[in-house]
Amino acid sequence: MMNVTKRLSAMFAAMIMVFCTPLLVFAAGQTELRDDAGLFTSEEETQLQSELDTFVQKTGWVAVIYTNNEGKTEDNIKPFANRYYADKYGKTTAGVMLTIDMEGRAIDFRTKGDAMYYFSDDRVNTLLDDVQYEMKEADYFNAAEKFLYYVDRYYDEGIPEGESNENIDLQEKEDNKLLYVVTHYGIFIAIGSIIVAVIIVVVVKSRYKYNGKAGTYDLKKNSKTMLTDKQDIFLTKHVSVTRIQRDSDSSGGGSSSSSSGGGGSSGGGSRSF
Amino acid sequence: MATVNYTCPNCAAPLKFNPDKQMFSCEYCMSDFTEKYIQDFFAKKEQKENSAEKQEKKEQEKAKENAAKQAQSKDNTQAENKTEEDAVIYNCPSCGAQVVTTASTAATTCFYCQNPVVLGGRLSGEFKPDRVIPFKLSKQKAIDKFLEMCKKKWFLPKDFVSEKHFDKLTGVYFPYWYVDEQRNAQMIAKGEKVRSWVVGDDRYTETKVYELRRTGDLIVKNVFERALKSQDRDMLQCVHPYDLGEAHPFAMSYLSGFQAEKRDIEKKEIAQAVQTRINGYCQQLMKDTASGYSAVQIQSYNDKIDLEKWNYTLLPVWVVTYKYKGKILPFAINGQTGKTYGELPTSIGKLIACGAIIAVVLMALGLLGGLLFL
Repeated sequence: MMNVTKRLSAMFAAMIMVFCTPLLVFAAGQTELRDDAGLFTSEEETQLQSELDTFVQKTGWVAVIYTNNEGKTEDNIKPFANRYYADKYGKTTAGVMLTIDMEGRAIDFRTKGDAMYYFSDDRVNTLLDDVQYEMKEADYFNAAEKFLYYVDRYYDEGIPEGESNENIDLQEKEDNKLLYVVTHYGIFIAIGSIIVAVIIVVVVKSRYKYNGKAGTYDLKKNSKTMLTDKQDIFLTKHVSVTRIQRDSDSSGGGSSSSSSGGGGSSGGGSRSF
Repeated sequence: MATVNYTCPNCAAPLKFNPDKQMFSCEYCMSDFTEKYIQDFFAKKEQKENSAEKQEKKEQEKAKENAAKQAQSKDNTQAENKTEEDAVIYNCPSCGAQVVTTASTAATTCFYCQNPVVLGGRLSGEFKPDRVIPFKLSKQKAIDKFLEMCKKKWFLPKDFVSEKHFDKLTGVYFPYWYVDEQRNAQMIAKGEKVRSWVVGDDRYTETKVYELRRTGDLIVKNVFERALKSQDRDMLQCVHPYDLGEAHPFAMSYLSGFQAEKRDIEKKEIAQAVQTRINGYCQQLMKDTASGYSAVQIQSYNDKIDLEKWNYTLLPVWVVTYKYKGKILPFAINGQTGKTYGELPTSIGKLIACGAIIAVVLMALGLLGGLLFL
């Protein structure tokens, strides 16, 4: 019996490890400069890459500058950027990302993992104000430079205290579903499981206590019915109508995930230019 | 009161009923006898002894008169003496030793010579049972049934199944009342038939109400109740069911080799309870005639008893009482079918381990469910 317990415990631990493993896949400290919109010259790209490398070496974060023509606007660029980062670097890997969509005329600044806590609402707005200004001026290189300047500066300044952090959109469920289930439902699952186990044990014990108590008289086997009169007289009939409650039409599915695009927790903000 | 010692007609050794052969067997000369042969043999023997007994009675009466004069001389020479605890003392017809029994004992074994002793007077006259189901399960088969049951019980303590328990396994005929009744019954009930269907977003439910009138004869057989106060009612009731089709008209000889108890509960003491049960059964039978209804509610019911028959029946039970960790646990095995009854101890360690495994598995399933469906 003890061996069985040990085996089950080991299986349980293995299961938890399997679910946690994806969190460990992505390594920190990577850079990406992807200029699909063709905003930078090769010299500018070289300089930006060099600055990205320097920043990453200092912080250990991921740093991404991504320009494209996806057509995302200020309203929907956030989930797109969040998903892009999560797919490539992981939902909880610390890092910063600037996304510029030339088709949709929108910019997005994303912070992920521990990096979220370095950027208060004021810092995000300051960064976005300057980047937005440069984008409106069509000075794309300077926009990227401003991004790098502020992330480097705020990293140096450290995590601000007492400042508003409403830009952070926590998605615990997406970040680590197991942790989310354990922290939010674990106590109920544990109590429920223990109650069920106790009920089963009590039932087993009582079955042992009352062993052989059931089914002593079989009425069907020991009886006979001989009807001399049998009448079924119809008296009345009534019909009732009830409205079937149907689920209200869904609005395209995944409304909750659309806010974060399934990319997990992130901070930052989006603007148009 | 006379004691009967069923002895082998060939060698005069003790004779016992053999459940495997369903015959009377002599363990010494290996002879087997049918129940009819034994009945005839002992009937003739009894006739011969009757005349001698009359003479003996006269002598005993004289002796009693003398004994009354000598106030302190009540002693063991009498056939029957009552003790303060309502126990009764007999002389073993085989070895002459005193056999102490309770007031309800009808058959037992001599403590000294182990020969079977049937206390014939206990089951004669108004106390003569109508029928008996002979033991079908030998002691060994009863033990096998017990072991078979134990094998299926995972939570029994390891040291529970012990050979020493089986030495005390005793075959006992317990007394029961069986009641057969025929009643003429009338019932008026309300029956409902419900059907529903869906049209668009609406569910329609149609309920048709009927008045159900039923009249007829009901036969309810083999409603049983123990006829012995001293034994645990649950044990005596729950060792059922028995197949009454295998019952024989009562013959004293079936008791040889087993213990037997005479009834100490009379009809009038249990009549009310039995009638209440049969009332319930009859109403259920009438209700069962209303098939096809989703709900049946009896509005009026009455019946009268046309026929009623009470049968005083002896049923075979293997009984063992054992101590386990200071607790006395009685256990019974149906002597006909092998059905077991009795409280079983549980291993706390095994139960805790089982509970822990179940809890861990449920937690794992709960987490998995959370991961998949949240």
